[in-house]
Amino acid sequence: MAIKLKGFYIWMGLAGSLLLFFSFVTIFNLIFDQILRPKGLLGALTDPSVLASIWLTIYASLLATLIAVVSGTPLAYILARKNFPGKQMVESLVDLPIIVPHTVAGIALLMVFGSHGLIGQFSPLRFVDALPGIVVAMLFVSSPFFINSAREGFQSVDPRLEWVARSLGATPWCAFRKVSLPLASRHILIGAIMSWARGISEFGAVIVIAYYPMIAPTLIWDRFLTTGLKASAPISVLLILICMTIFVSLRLLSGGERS
Amino acid sequence: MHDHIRIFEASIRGRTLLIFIQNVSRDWGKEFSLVDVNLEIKEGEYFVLLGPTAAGKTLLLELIAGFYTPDKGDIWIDGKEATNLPPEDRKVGFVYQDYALFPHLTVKENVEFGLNLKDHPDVRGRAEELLDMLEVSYLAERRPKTLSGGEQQRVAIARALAIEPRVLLLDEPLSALDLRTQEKTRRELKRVQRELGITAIHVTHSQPEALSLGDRIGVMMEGRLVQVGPTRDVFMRPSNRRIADFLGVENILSGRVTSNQKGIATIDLGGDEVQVVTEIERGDVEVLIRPEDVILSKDFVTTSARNSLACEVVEISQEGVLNRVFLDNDIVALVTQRSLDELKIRPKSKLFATFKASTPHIIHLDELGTK
Repeated sequence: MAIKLKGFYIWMGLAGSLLLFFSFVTIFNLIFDQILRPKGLLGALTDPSVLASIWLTIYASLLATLIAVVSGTPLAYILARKNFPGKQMVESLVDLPIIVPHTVAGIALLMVFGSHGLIGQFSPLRFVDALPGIVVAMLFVSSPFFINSAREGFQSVDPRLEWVARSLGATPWCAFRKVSLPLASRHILIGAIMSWARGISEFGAVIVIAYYPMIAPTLIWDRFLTTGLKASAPISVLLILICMTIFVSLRLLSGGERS
Repeated sequence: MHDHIRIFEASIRGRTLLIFIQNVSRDWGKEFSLVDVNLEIKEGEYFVLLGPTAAGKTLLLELIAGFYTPDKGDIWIDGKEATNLPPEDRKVGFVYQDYALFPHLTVKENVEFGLNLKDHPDVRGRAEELLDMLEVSYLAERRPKTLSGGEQQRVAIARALAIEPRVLLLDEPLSALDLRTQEKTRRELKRVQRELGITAIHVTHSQPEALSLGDRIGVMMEGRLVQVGPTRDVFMRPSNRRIADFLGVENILSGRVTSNQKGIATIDLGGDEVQVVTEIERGDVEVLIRPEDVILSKDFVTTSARNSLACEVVEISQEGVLNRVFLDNDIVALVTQRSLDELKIRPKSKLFATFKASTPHIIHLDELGTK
């Protein structure tokens, strides 16, 4: 390597490590602090309301992700394959939840799914302060992550592979199922993981529409306000550890499929 | 409308016409349009679509396969109007330039793809048969990514043949291969096509490829089919200057290889004998020489590895700065005005036409079967 280039990489690395250090210190300071004084952590582990809220978070976000996959996959496919008037509008719409402040998203959702809302007033399903409310809030904020990743996946599949499949006797649906879908599966899986993670981390939109039943971020906020840092930090660490375990193993799994 | 149906039905009775394309146009931006294409392809023939890049050759293939539909005109396949038929109902095999194998499937699964969809009674057996025919059985369990270009191509052909297509469409099937593999694959393609008696449409921009494979060729330029005919006819009698320039080869001499020593063959051209660099050991050949590779001189050139043939000038035609000199031994040379003046070349001048042993392109007729 040329000497000048070496210096260049060292400087780039130093600048970059600043950010890395910042994230690392913030997260691991919290984790180590709790691990060194495990009493709080053990207390959280044996607190049924904590465990229930963590389970609810994971479960609700999984439901939201499932909905995103079922409806988002066809949308991602169309966005990857077709040009149509207003396509840019649709793409902006897909990305909109990323830029809307999440409390705003919550209020908007409340106006649609609230008991007097656009859909809420006719719906037999109750959204306010109920699981469906948590799911729609999570779905709203996490869907862009899934759609964008799946769209990238479909874009990476050469359309001529579908054409060849058609020439071999496959209907459009069959070509999608046997060629495009498996070839985009890695992107779809990663998109689903991202969307699931995003759902789990959502707080702002959820508390507006469903403060109860409490998901973990709500519970942490609630404990922080009522009992302070000592009560909320162990739950935070528990949530981080559980999520990290899930996501690292999923990432490894999906990475293993690449070959 | 009724008119061409009648023509088509008549030809079907004679079992000759397989593909019938009438007034097909497709506007697709400036570079890739098709304009009023008319084409008839007979059952069992090897048809080559020859043309420079962006002439619309691939688009025409894709229209025949049904990947796109024409704006105007209609396409008949095997006696059925197919203009708006989806690709899956056309029984057309397609081999893309980069083969487009399914990367997530093994070689065997690629070949089985079409068989499974057809509910073939013996999927496994038929796939093995095809891989055998194309001599790639040993690759059955491999993924396409691990295959060489030549291997991928054979697999792509096997996959296309699996559905027993009425016609095999080949889009520049040799252009991604290195020269040696190209020659081998060329022979292989022709062999497979002859063995199965299948109709093939082969798109290429390479003149030697067209000459060695095509029973008939169609020359495409800027979205138009500008000349169609038996291969030799088209090359010998291009219908206009632009086609002639594109085809390039005007000297096609028939001969016979009488001996070959260390890669240099002696070819008897029916009177004259020439030395040419080729591996061919024996048999009838065609010797293709570009006119610009022919050098004219007053005296016999004695340098080794060159051929000097005595000849007489028949006619001279001026083309810009160059002159096309027609000689009595059917050779055409392209020379500058300056050498024309220096050598005092006129009709009836006695000259020697010289070309290097390494310049001609040789087509071996025996190995291509019925040509």
